[in-house]
Amino acid sequence: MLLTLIIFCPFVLGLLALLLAQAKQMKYWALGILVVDLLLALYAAVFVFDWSGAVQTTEIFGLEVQTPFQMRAHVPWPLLDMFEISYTVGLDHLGMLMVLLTAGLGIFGVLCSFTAIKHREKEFYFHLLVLQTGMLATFAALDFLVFYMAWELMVIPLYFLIGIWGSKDRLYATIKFVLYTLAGSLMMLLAILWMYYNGANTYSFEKMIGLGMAEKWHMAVWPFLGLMFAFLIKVPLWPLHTWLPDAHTEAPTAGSVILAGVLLKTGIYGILRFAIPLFPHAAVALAPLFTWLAIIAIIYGAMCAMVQTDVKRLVAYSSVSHMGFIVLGVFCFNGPALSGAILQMINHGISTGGLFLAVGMIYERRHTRKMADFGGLAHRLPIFAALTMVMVLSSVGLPGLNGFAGEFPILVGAMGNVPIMTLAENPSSFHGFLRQQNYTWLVAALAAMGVILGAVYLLLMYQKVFFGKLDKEENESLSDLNGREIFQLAALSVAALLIGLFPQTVMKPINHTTRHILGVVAAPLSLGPENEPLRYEEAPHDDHGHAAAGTAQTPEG
Amino acid sequence: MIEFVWLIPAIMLLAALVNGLGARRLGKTAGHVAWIAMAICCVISFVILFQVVGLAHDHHWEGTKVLLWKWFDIPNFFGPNRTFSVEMAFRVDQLTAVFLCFVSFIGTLVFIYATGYMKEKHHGHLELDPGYARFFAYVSLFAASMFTLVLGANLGVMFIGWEGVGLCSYLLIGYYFDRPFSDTLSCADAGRKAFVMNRIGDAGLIVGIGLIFWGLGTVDFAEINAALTSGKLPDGSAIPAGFKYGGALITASMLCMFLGATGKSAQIPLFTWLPDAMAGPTPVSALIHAATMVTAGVYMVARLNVPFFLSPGAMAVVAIVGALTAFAAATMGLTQRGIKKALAYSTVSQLGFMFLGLGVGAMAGGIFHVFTHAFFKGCLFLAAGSVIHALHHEEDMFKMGGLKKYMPKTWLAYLMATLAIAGFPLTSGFFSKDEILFSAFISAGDGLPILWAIGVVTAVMTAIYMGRTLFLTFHGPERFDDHAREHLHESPANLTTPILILGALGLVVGFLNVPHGFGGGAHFHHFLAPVVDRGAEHVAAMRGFQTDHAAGVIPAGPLVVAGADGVALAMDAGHKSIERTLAVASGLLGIAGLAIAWWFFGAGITDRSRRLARTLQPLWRLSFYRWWWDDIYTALFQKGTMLKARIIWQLDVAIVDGAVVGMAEGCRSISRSMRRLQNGQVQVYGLVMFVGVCLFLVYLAIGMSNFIGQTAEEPQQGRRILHNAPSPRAIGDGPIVSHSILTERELVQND
Repeated sequence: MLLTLIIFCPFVLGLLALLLAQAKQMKYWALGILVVDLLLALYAAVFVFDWSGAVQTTEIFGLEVQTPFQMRAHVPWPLLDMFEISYTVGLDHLGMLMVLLTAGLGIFGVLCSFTAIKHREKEFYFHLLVLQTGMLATFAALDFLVFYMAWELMVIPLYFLIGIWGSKDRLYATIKFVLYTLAGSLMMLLAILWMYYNGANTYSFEKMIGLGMAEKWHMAVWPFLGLMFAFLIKVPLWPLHTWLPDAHTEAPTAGSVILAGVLLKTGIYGILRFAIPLFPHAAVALAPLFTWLAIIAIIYGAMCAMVQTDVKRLVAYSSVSHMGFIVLGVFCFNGPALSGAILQMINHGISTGGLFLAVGMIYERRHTRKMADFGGLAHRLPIFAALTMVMVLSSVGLPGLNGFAGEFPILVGAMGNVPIMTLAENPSSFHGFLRQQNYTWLVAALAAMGVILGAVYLLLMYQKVFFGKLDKEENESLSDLNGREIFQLAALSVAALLIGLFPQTVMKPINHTTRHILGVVAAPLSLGPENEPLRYEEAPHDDHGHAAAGTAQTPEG
Repeated sequence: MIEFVWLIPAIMLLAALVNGLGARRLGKTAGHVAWIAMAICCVISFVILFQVVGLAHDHHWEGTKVLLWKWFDIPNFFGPNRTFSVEMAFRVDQLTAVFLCFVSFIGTLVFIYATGYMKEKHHGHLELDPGYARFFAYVSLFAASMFTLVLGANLGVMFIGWEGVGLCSYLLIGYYFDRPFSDTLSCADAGRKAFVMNRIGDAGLIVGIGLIFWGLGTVDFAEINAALTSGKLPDGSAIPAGFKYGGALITASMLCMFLGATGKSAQIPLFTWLPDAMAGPTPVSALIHAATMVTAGVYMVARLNVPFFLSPGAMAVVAIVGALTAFAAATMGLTQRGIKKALAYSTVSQLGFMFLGLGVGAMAGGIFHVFTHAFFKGCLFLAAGSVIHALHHEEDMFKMGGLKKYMPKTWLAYLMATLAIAGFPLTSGFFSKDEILFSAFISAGDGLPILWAIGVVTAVMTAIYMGRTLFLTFHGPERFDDHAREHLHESPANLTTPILILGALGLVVGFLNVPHGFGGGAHFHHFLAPVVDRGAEHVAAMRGFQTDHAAGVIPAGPLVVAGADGVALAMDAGHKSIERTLAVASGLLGIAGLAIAWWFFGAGITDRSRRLARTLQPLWRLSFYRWWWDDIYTALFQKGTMLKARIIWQLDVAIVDGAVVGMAEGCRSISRSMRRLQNGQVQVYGLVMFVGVCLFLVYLAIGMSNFIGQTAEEPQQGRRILHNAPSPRAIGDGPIVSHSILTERELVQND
């Protein structure tokens, strides 16, 4: 019930606000609603959620299943329950972290729009709130129909946000975004139907797992690709990324922040939650493919970012590069890489979200995003320069800040890329011409290139905007940040520093998810009798259970 | 005190925070906050040093670890048995204590100097630089990072400091972010260049850390050493074959680590950022780009001496790169006009010396050169800063000359430091360089001592170019204009005192490590030996060499590298006489170099020096244009990468996005043509309908005939299977719904 409250609180209260609030007051309503939502989520995280990760037993449509999900709500859908469709939501560690990220970043989406949005305010904030509900529902849904609806619910408000409040080419960008995502969703729908008609006969994810469908579908590649198509468009992974620069560039600041901060994560989330657990065999077989696509994305995105003249487009392309790191981490199938990737989902929300906030602040002052129009801003806006520097460094991956805390395990983990190593040891597998070659070092070295290039384009951007002489007349009269703006960037900076220094507080719950997912791919990876099966550790690591406490507070309060 | 060692970086971090947040409100206080914080750290460091000296009497003491918290702890649930565990922990041992002391001591002096230096003359009176507090925030943050670097108990924590000093270096080089630096670079460009080139090295470092982690399952220095020396991982299994002596993996990982070192310590191929780093304020050049940060690479190699010794290939690379860098940079330093530029190339060259020492196995010798170099090079830069300050930011030595009369104290300090770096007998540079050269000589074993020869030539060049800077700046005719002469004066006491202290120490600290060959005790070396000679001892023991450290066998490393099997004989009479001969020779060569410099530049820029340049024109051009190294990099990498990036982006727009847009356009054009069908003419609709119905009927007919043919032959298989019991795997814990439409293929596979 609490979870349902968290999910629908923005939407329902948003409707109320739409009826009651005056246009000028709407932003305070929205802020209040999201703060309430965040408090609810924090309450759930601290007092309700059991961070020790015990598995419960529950019954779904007549099947007893073991489920790692907590705070569940399971309501069979009237009339549709004959198709085993139900409203089922629940959270595991991954979901809980994503809900916290969503609830947290939503507030920044509202805060950054306070003065930027001047017309049709009521609708604007209502769309933001609906978007919030859509994202929360996506991270909580355990029924494929609910998931699909939530997935689509995210697109609609964003369509309006970009289309109405965006900048010059907003219509082109928003239609491209919607059509692109819908194409992906269609593939996902087909995959869902395939699953229903190929043995599952249910839309409940938990029941599919409980039925052991993953083993039955071990030859199924197409439905896996269908799911991946939808998810990878959202990520976005090269070559499915081209909607992103347009959408980001044209979206209002709030749209960009939420898009980069949360929406892109739904793609990775979908891969981790549904695609890999349901089709581990296909995931393992195709892992090298996604590894290479991720490598291409890392370098390609960075290269594209390097030559941009528009700050926002640069940050957008940097997202392509950074999300490539995450995909790389996911498909290495080892502890450090996967945990790092999940942490990086949060980190990317903070650092790229922060960068978009910064771009929005400067856009609001100058109504341009061209780097050539700036220069020397550090003279006039020292606070802004300092806080943006923290965000840039976090994005560059400076040790001690959050970006490094995710990137470092990913890069280290990439050197132990399990699928590539397994395939190298197992010549009988069908993986193309690269088989028998342990080229993990090459993957890691190429990914490390991304680290270098990241410093190149971000520092270049920073230098063009903030350093040099203040030689543009229009920039003379710019004012430094106000309190609200300082709060936004400072809060994210503090978060970046805390995660950077104490990543283990977040990493500890993440390790639960990592263990869970690696348990799923353990069977497909232990191929062939001639090979010694790879080790899979069932029990949590010794130190792990007693490591420094952080977010993992006592359950039940 | 050792367990409170975290106070050192914490105090500096606090100072940085105070200065950073206080910004302009602090005024002059900013500088005081910084230097007092640094002085406190210096006191703590010396207390720790004395404690370490006491603890080191126990030969089993291998440093004290101070655990703060767990930074990373990620079990590898799947795959090799590795836990990615990185502790936020510090380790205090002899090597760390030495670094703490000299960094904080020189840091204090430089900070005091900076409180006087970071002022500008406006309308006749001195005003604080507008970024005064920002400057001290950055340098305090630098100090915190540098302390973290040398304190880190594992590669992860070291990497925090490693990148932290890189960041501060970036910020401080670009401190005058609105000023141009040279024809092609602004100060901000120079800073970015430094950061990016360092990042290239750091990428290598990350890959190296990854290799070590997967190989040994740990990144902790003590655990790495334990695993390598015992040949066992913590869980009892043997280390991978690639990590045994001379293994491919250990060589690969150490080369990756060394790539990181070449970035931070400005060695070939990543050295070109350091001369441009002179865009920063002079105290920064002294502290960061001469005395401390650039020696981080040397520190790291010495810290990892066990794995480096286990990889002769990597050691050879270190030695060769060091020697080549020392030589190349020295040639570049011969003709530079900017005093700071000349000193910068000198720094690169001296760093090359240090790596030469490390590479031939003289780990302690390399560290000792770091130590002495910090004093005399710090002094040289600060003295140069004093000159530049007095001449209103004039750095060109061709516009100086004869300053001895105006600035006697600065001259004295510069003279002392020049003597030291030139290797004048009994100065610190004499002792530290001598040990490296001696080691290079004996490490050649029976072969030709080529590295030693390069080192000697470089040492002579060092004396020449240092003498040149001294004579061009302080001697000969005055080449500045009258306006400058009016304002010319000796710098105030808060500038000259630190310079003189450093200069004097630069002369005498060499006596801490007088080699046995001269009847000294080599105390510095003996103090560090338990840490930095572990690798040499291990390899010597492993290969059956005899070592006897207690008996005063100092150059174990070079002899191990040489493969000499009589290490115990290291200090026999023969070696002692070699050492003495080499030392006398190098002392004489140093004096000769200074004399050559005096001959050509003693009277300023005369016909004699011009003729020299003209006679050796090709060589002069090679030197003056710095072997065109920078230009090649710019053309090859900087422009090349940008060009590639541009091409990729064009392809992105044209092809990747073009395909998407093209698909949309295709849909639109199809629907546009389809639209023509709906023209409202009933006849056309009827015709289309008729054709459609015909086609459908034909299709039906074909389908029916097929169906009839099939049923006549055999019953359909799918039907039969549906009556079968569900396969065992299909049964979950609960009742399974039986109306599934599994195809035949899938069911067969399930069984």
